[in-house]
Amino acid sequence: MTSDSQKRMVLLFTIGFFLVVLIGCPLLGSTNISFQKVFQSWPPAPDNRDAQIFFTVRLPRGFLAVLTGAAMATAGVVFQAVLRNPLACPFTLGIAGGSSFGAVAAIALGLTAGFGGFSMVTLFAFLGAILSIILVYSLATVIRSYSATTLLLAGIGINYFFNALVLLFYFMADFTQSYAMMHWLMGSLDVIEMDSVMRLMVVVVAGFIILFSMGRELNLLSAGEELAQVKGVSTVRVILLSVLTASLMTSACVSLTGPIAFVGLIVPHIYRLFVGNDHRYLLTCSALGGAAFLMLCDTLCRSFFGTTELPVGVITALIGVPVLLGLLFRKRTYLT
Amino acid sequence: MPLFEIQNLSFHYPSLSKFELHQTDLKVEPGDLLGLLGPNGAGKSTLLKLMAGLLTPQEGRVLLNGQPIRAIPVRERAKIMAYVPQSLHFTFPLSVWEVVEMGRHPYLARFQPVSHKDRSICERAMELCDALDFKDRRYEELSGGERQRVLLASALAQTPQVLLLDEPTLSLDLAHQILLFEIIQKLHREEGVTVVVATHEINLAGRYLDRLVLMREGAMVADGTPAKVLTAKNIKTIHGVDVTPLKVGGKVPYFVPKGRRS
Repeated sequence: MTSDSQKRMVLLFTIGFFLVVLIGCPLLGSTNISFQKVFQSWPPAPDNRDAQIFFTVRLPRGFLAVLTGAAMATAGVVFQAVLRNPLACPFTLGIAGGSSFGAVAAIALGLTAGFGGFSMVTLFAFLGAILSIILVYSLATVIRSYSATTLLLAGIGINYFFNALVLLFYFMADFTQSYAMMHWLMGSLDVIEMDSVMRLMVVVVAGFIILFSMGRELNLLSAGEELAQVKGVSTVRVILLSVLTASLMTSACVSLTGPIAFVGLIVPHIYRLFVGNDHRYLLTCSALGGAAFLMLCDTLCRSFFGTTELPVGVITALIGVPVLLGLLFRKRTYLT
Repeated sequence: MPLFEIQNLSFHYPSLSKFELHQTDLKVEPGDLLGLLGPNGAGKSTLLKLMAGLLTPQEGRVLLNGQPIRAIPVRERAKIMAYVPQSLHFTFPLSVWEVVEMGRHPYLARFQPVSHKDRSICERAMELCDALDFKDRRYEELSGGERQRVLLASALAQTPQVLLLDEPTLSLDLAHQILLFEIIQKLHREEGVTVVVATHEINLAGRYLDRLVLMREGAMVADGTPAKVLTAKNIKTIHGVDVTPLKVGGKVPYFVPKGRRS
C-alpha cells in the first residue's frame, strides 16, 4: 500500500505542479506576454500592457479556476467519503440542477440588474443551489435518516426534477435567451472582477480548513457509520457539518462558473490511486491538484483555439476521463 | 461497581413486530471473560449493540461504569469500550496500519498528529493480536482470520477497559478459531481487559471463557461458569439439538451433536 514517504512525495510533487501552473498559466494565452515585462516595476506602470493583461484579466480568471478546481475536488472527496460511494461528486446532492434552475430562471425572467457586485444570474444560481440543499435535508429530516442511501436518493431525485424545469425554461425561451442559457449550462470561467474572486476565496479557504479538520473522522465514516461511532465519532454531526460545508463551497463556485463537470469526480480518484484513502492527504492533494488541473484546462480553452473559447467543461472531461481510465488500467488494483 | 449493568432492557427493531429482546437484566463485572451463546436470532448481536450504545432501547437502560451509555459522549465511550463488528468492508481501501491507527481517534484532538506513543500503542496491539506481519498490506487483501485480528488490534488500540466482540470466529477455519480464542484469553489474562464475546462455538467457549450466558429468542436461559451452564439439557433448550457430552480432560465436556432425527 501507500507508505508515508510515498504520500509525502506525491504531496510535494502536487505543490510544485500547482505553483508552476499558478505562475505559468497566466503568461500563456492568445496574446503573448513576457514574465520579465510583467514584473518590471512594482506597482506596474499603467502603460505596461503585459502587466495589465496579467493582473486584470488573466490573474482573476486564473484565481477563479484555482478556487473552483480546489473546491470541486475537495467537495468530491467529502461526498464520496460520507456517501461511501465512488460515483459521488459535488453535484450528487442536486447542486448542479438547483443552480442551473436558478440561473436559467433569471435569464428567462430577463433579470439583468446586479446586487452587491454579483449579477442576478449568479445570485439566482446560488439561491437555486441552496434550495436544492434545503430540499435534500428536509427530505432526510422528515424521514429521520441521514444515511448515505437517503441522501443519495433524495439528491439524485431533486437533481432530475430541477433538470426537467431547466429543460422546460429552455424549451420556452427565445433565441437570445436560449443561447445565454446554454452558455451558462456549459460552464465557463469568463472574465470576472478580482472582488468577487476574493470573496469566493474566503468561502473556499474557510471550507477547506473545516473539512481538513475532519480528516480522521472522514476516514472512519468511509468505513461505515457504526464503526465511526464506536471509535468516537459523533456521526450525525460530522455528516451534517461536512456535507453542508462542501455543499456551500460548491454552490458558491457553481453560481459564478456554471456546473463544470468531472473535476470533482476525477481528481479525487486520481489521488486515491497515488496517496491512498487517508483523507488528510487526500483532501490536501486533491485541492491543489484540482486547482492546477482546472487552471490548466482553462488555459487550453482560451489559448489554442484562436479567438473562440471552448467551454472548459468539455476540456476537463476530454482530458480527465482518459487520464483516469489510463491510470485504472495501469494500476488495476483499484476498487477490488 | 459492575462495569456494565443492564436493567430491564427491552428492544425491538422498528420494522419487525417480533420482540428481539425482552426485560433483560445482566451485570458484567470488571475482569469478566463472558460469552453470549445462543442460536441465530437469539439476540446476542442486538444485546452487544445495545451495550455499545449503537441502538437505543425502548425500555430499560444500559449503564457503563454507573452512567447511562447514551449519556456518555461518544469520544469518552470509545476510550472505555471497544466494539468489534462481525465484518467490515471499506468502500475505499485502507492499509492495515491505517485501520489500526483509527483506534487512536478518541485520544487525538482535531489537528493533532499521531505521536510516537500512539504508534507504539498500535504496534503493541498488533503484536498482541498476531497482526504485525501484515501491517503494510491492504485490509481488503487479507484472509478472514487476518481481518478479524486486525479489527481486534484496532479495537485494542483504543486501550479500552472492555472489549465487545460480535461473533469474531464467524466463517473462520478451525485453526483460526482457536488462534482467535487464544488471543482473547491472552488479552484477558495479560492485559486485564474485560471481554464480552458473542459466539456460536459451544466447545471453544467452554474451553476458553470463564462465564457463559445462554440466550434463546431474546431471553436469557442460563448464566454461570461453563461447567455449570454447559449441559446437554441446556444446549437442547437453546438449540433444539440433542448432544452427547464427551469428557476429554478439563472440567468442561465437549459436546457432539446428534442428528435431529436420529
